[in-house]
Amino acid sequence: MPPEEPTAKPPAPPEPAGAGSLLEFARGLSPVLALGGVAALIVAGVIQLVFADLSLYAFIVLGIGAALLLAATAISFDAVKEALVGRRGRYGLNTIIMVSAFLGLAIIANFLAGQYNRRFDITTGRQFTLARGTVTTLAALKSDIQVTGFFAPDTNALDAALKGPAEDLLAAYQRVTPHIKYRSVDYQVRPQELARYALNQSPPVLVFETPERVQPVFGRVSEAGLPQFVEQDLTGAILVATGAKLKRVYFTTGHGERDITDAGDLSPGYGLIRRGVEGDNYQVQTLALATAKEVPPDASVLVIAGPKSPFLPAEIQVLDAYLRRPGRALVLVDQETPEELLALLKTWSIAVEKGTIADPSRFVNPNITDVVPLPSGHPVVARLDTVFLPRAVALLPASEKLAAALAACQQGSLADVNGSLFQLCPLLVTTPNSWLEKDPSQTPPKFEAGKDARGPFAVAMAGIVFGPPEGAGRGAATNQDKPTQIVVVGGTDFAANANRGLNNPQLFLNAVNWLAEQEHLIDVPQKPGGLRRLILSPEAASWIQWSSPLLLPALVLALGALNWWRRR
Amino acid sequence: MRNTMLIAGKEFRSYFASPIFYVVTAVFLVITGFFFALSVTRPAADASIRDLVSVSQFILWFIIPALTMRLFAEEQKLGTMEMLLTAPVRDTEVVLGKYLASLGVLLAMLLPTAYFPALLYWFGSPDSGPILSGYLGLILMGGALLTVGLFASSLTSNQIIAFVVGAGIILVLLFIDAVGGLPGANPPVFVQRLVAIFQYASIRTHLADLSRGVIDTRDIVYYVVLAAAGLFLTVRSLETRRWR
Amino acid sequence: MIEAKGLTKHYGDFIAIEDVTFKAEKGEVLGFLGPNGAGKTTTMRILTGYIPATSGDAKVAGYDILTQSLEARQHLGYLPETVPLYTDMTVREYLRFVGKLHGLANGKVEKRSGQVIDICRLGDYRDTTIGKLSKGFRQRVGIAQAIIHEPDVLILDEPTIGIDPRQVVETRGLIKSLGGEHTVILSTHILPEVSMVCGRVIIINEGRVVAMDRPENLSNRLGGASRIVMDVRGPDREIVQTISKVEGVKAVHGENLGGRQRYTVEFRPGKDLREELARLVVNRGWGLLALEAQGLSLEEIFLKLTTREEL
Repeated sequence: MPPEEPTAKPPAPPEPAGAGSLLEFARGLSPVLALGGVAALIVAGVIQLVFADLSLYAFIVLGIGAALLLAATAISFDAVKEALVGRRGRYGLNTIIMVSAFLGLAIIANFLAGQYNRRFDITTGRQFTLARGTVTTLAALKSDIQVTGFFAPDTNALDAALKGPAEDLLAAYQRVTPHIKYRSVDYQVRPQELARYALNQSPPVLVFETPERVQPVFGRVSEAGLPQFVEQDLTGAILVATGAKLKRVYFTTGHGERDITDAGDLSPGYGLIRRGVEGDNYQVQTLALATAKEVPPDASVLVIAGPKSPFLPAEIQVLDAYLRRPGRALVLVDQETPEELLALLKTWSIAVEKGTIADPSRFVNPNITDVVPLPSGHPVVARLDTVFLPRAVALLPASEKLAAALAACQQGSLADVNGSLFQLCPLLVTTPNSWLEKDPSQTPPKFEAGKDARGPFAVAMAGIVFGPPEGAGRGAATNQDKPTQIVVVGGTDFAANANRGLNNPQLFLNAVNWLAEQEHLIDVPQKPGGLRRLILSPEAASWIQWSSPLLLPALVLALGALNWWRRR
Repeated sequence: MRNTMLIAGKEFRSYFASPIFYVVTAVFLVITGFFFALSVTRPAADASIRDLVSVSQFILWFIIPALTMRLFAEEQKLGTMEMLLTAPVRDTEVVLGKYLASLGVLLAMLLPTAYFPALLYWFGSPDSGPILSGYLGLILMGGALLTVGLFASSLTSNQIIAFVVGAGIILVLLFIDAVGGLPGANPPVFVQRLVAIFQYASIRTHLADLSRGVIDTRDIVYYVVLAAAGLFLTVRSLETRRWR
Repeated sequence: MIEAKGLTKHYGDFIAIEDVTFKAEKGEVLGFLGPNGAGKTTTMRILTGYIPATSGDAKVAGYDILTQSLEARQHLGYLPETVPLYTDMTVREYLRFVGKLHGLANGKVEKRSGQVIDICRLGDYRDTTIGKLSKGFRQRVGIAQAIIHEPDVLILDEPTIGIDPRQVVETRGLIKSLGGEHTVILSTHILPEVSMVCGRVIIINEGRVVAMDRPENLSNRLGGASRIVMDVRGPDREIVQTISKVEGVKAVHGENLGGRQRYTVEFRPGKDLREELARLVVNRGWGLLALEAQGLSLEEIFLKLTTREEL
């Protein structure tokens, strides 16, 4: 150890009283310095965490904190030494280190959990999982969309019921993109904000707004008859607000087709299906074939939904010309479908065999004619195992030659018939136990050998045709062209409002999406009503009101009293 | 493990021997029952327990510390702490045992509330997913808060102080996200970050998804880590007796 | 069995015990004697690992109480000053719980709890809730819980405090019978208790060990020997000779402190020699620098203790 003082130095004079008291003063100050140092360290940490762009200052403050701590240590070295090295100090320090390390780990664990989280939506119908169409739409957003929700939850029970789910949905959108900005406005408190938009329907409403466009979204009437905000509508509004063009779907009229304006709950109309189609972001329009010279060029899909009265030759011509364009058509046929249309379908490779299919192996109680056919692996139906078709008719390839087109489907190839390329895919097939009942008056239907044909039958079919149906001559058609695509479903009731249960609407929507080449929407099942309303009779309500807060506590208290009594 | 279960069993039994458990459970059921009835009998009501779950978190604010206040405070008051800590048992085993007992009691307290979803199934057809995840959320959150109460109880021999401290910490954890309302419109970025951190730290924000049927691993990690932190701090708090 | 070396405990500036060192052999019953606040409870809490010493070490059954705390605790039975009882349990439930806590297997617990109930004469109250027991019976339950796992070392903090005289006698008998198998440390502030129960006594006052011996020797010492320590400047040999001749002095030990000497004078008690020795030194013209009587404190402690005997 080096000598503490240079020998040359004269003996140290007795310490002046001033110096001693100065040292004392400094000792008194050292806890303050230490506290300041710790505070500076914490501040530095906060700066680093919160003001990421000010990290230089964080390091400066960190340095100051370290310096203060060092100074405090130097001034009262003995005390610090005692505190750190003594038994108590060692344990204390140990505990502090362990607690800090644990807190650090806890923060890291939460941070990692935030980075690599997984979400599991266990609601029926995956209510809070966004459709793939929505996700792609949101991911493509480049600029902000301001969403304003107009709700008066304090004065209106309906608003109160709708606000939460709507905001949940928007929160899910916000998790995908930072471009959705949301605020809610109570339109009873600030009516002027709502008046600004001059909407033609009353709130609650969500208004989607970009500098260029404004698109309102209202609640949709769901199964229980109460409106709710639906993801398809919201995503559609985003598309509209950002100026995307919507594809168009035309429904033919004039032959007793199903009415797409009839939204009656139990009616045979197609009003609800139409909403579904709109929900998948199509514009739906009707087309009166008799007056139209052609199917409009902007038609993505033409739907012929259960016509009953005969078609004029000119109308058939229009349809044929459309298909040759090449066009895309969804045709729903049944017992009453006029022969002219069936003939057209036959030229386009699909023949319809009338009668009513009964399937004792798969049906919806109690009618064995409400068949539940099996889905093939085709993308249109891959996940639809619970479609039921009431009073279905059978679909066949139009000719022996076209049987090869069926085989082609299984191999994923195309069959060459007279130079045009065909593929025919059965989408839904009944079981071998099914039969085609030819006698509609027979109740219940019974299989009669010789009269009725045995299944299995295809009841929905997708056809792809490259080139004209009558043949293009050798080698004329190639699969480089766009094909004509037809989906035929051997039933019309399945898509009626009254039968919208199970996967029925989804079959229709998937077919439309496939025809319109919106494959990303096919896989997304339509969500059944997310909210389940509780409809209570007055008796039930009063039972709940009284039993919920009183019955259980009374039981628990009685149990407690019993226990107390027993212990006594 | 044997010691843990031994202590857990002893604590669990003594819960049912004390009137506190029955009173606390009855209070819990009265309040939850009242709000449940209110939420499902109004017009256009949902057949769901979502309101029940979100009300429960505020009730748990004072129910949890009432359940945990005695766990260590009473041992200190009775002097049995001296026996417990000089027995050949690890501090961790003591803490875990008491925690498991209180968790069991929480479950026993939640069990009668199954009556509420049962009513929903009786009178309607609720979606089972959110009911299951809602209960999962309540158990996770309650499990985390119990450790907070346990920690508070380890600090003092006075049950009232243990209750107040526990309820105080839980109150902060519940409402820390309320600071988000303090900055006005368009706060600077760093304030937004700070607010986001506070919101993440809040217990309530992590129950929102669970109460509506979405299980997010983030929420589970948050609650499990919070529970682990509470247990860890309680063990440290006991341990300091050995050197303080 | 027990080895304490330099145990010191500070609470902030307050010194609870300082440099407490002792040993207890297997089968010994060691008494800790001292007035209230002398540091008996602190020492026992340190030995059981309930609180740590500020410095110093201790071993119980060969295990360090700090670094091998769990092992040490396995060999320990402890009755704290406030008897640790769960008032909502019955005697049997409680003893079973404590037995299992100390690692007894299920079958063994049944057997042992039966035995300790007999030993502590709790038979009539085995299914009584502890909260309803009188103080004396609670004390017995406390002893029962301390011995249920047959520990090598038994530490009893004031086991006879606050119970009625008849029970005190019984309890003392019980403790005495426990010696031999167990190493027992018991604390008390009652002098006769020590001589009745203990093979050896440590007297502790204001945190320091003032005496350590067999009870009978201690009594002798009380009536036996005392000491005076004096610092004197002068010719060493002459001083020793002079002091030795004083009536009553048994022995003189000298120690050179550089420029002066320190003498420890042992003498037969019964007479205070301080005045006489001081006069002697001054008359001879030597420098008397300091003079202090030791061992009187012991007397004083005994005085305090005996006056508090409650029997």
